[in-house]
Amino acid sequence: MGLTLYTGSSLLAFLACIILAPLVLWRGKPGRQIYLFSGLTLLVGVWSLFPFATGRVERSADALSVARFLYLAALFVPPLFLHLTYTILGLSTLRREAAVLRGFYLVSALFALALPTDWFIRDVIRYAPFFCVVGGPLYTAYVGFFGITCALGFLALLRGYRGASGVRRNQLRYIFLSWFLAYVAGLFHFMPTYFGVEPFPHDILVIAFVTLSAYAIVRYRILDIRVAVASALILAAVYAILLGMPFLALRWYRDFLYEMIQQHVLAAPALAVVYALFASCCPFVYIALQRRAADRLLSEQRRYQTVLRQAAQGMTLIKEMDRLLNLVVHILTRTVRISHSAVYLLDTEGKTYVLRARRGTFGIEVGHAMPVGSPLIAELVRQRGAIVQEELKLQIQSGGEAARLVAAEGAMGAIQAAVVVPSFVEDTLIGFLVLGEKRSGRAYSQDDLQVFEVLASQAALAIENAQFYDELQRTQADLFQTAKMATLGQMAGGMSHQINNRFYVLTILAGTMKAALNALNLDTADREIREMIAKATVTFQKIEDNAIRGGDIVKTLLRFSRPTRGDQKPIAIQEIVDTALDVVQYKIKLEDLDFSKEYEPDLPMIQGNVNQLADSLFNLFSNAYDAIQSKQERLKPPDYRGAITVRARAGSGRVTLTIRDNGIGMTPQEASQLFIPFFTTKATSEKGTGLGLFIIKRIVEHHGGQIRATSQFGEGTTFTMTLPAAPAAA
Amino acid sequence: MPPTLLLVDDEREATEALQMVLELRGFTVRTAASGREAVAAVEAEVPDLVLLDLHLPGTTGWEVLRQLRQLAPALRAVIVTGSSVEQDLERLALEAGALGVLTKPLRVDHLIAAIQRFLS
Repeated sequence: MGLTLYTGSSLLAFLACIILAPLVLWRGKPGRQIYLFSGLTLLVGVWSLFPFATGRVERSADALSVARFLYLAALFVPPLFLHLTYTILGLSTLRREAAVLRGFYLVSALFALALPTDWFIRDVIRYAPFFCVVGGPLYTAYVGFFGITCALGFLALLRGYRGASGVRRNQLRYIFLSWFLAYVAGLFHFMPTYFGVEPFPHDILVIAFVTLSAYAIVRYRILDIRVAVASALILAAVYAILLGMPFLALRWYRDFLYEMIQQHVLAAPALAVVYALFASCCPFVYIALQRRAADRLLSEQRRYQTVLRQAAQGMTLIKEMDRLLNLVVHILTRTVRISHSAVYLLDTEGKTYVLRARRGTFGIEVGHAMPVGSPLIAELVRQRGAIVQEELKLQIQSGGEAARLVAAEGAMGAIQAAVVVPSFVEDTLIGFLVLGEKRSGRAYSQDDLQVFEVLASQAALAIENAQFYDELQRTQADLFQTAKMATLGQMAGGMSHQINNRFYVLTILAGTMKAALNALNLDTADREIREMIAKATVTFQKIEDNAIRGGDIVKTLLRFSRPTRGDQKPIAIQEIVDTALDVVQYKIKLEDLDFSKEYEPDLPMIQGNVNQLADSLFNLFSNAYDAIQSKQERLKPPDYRGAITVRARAGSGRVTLTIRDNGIGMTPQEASQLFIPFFTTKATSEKGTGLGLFIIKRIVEHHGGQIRATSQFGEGTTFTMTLPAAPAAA
Repeated sequence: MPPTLLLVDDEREATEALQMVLELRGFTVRTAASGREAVAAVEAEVPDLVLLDLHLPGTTGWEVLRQLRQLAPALRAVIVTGSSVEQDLERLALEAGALGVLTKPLRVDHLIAAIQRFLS
């Protein structure tokens, strides 16, 4: 008896199983799951051999023995099946499930005892369109046993699937599908016994089942489920059709072919060649079909992967760092359709990775810092590739180097990362991308990760470019500023003496004239002369005042032209405020105001120079006081009482200090010009050089901070100063 | 007897005006526009207080102060300067043996108050 579609697929299934079983054992991570799977695959393979093996033997008594022998494997398929299912779900060690398994193995063993008797298999039908068992009473019991095991397995799977998420869910989806195929294959195997029909050579399903489940267990995370299913089905179909066609031809054109072989000597070898051609076509047809199916199924992925590759190429052209980083997160979030993404970059001191750009539903603010010593960083450096959180979880479950992985997994959870992709420049991890879950709920595939890695490495190059560019610009600006300041400093030093001396002469002359006029005896003078002299006195007084103010301006200018020395150390905000208050008390009667300080508990220290910062605050308090005075004088509000509120709070590695007054305030236009040198809201004849806030801004910026003002005329002004917190003491 | 003051400054206009005011207040005032004149004035008579500008033709106030103190070790002197570039002016002045520093410009009233303080 030659091969038919049924015996052929039987042989094919057997071969697939005995090849896959050791392959999985070799490629998979050692563990009970893999052993069980390999064992099950072997048993299923042996069982699949049933049509082929029974068809090969001459005597029907021998066929019965062969069938009984093969059924020894079949008997243990159900409990092993359930055992594997429970193991995958992590249930096999539970007391109830373990008891069920023991019971089921026992049932199989009992069936095995009955195997040599007619109680189990009475006879084997061969040569009929199909091959099947003529079952004894116990055979039906076995079929029922098979059904019950399957039902239990599916139930457990369904429960596990509902509780799972991400990649795990994907894996269970695979397993569910492959189990379903196996179940159908089993049913088809039993059908001829009871109904005398077998609609389909079920062993093809066995091939699909084993390939799919091998994927599910060994490689599930790197392949999209739909692609795996399509591949398995295409493989089965291509081989069945291409290898089956000659058999069909043989069956339908039997007489014709027979005649041909009789007449032509070369007909038999020619047919063999045709068959060999068909067989060797299989892999090519399979690969072509498989690729087309994958392209179609993964069109969405292919689309964003192309976009990302293009973006990666264009990235190096962007020179401004912030634009670049925002572009990266924008592209990722938009094109991959993920919940959020973010970029962390190594700071200039190389101590922390700082969140520089973010997008989507990400609960962490820009400025968040992750220390270089974080377990996640260690893991990124170790793996030098993308890390998937789900994968870490699975590694932890399967008992990898647990402590390290648990820490890294925790760190990923803390920054809401489903995937982190590192960016290396040579051996330095200069930053990493954080990716949230896909909105579609699908898992990340190996292709995805590869594209992200390309993106990240291109981004690293671009970031390095941008950093260089930023630095160049800053260096240039700094150089220019330094040169400007040095020149100004020298000039100011030389000029101040001259200018101060002019002012000095003016004050002395005016003061002298005042004194001289005061010394006059005006008792006998005319009223007109007395008035003239009074007016002159006032005028000299004004000259003196102006000259003094000129001197003040020169002093302030000098102070600011002098380079600020970096004498910065960690200080508490409270200390700075109190130092400023100590000084300001000489100018302001604090009792006349409602002065309040509100500090958030556990404020971090900031890095700074107490004198410069206290000086800045002194200026702000003093301005606030002037604004309050001004409101009192100009608006004369009833029941008005001046108030100055100092508030400090922390966040994202920074301390924010606000100083609010309820003074006269200013127009938005004035507020926008506040920090321009020589701009002042105070009448020039009164006080103010127009340099105070300019210098404060310089001081704050020198500390790596920012200052801004908001104001409303008649309501008051608020200055908000943000200063970086001092690095935590080691 | 009224206190005698020596004003050493090359700003003659200011010095002369100041002399007038101070004399109105009852001080005896002498002036010098250079280091040499200052030395000559102290040689002639040691004043109760010297107001010494740091910027003098061909020399510095510090040098002049050194010479004056050689003549009269117990000399009381106050530095008056228009320069605010030097840091720690106050400390330098004390080290040089002066009583303190006044920075230009300054109000006549303040100057008189300061003189009275240094004299007492």
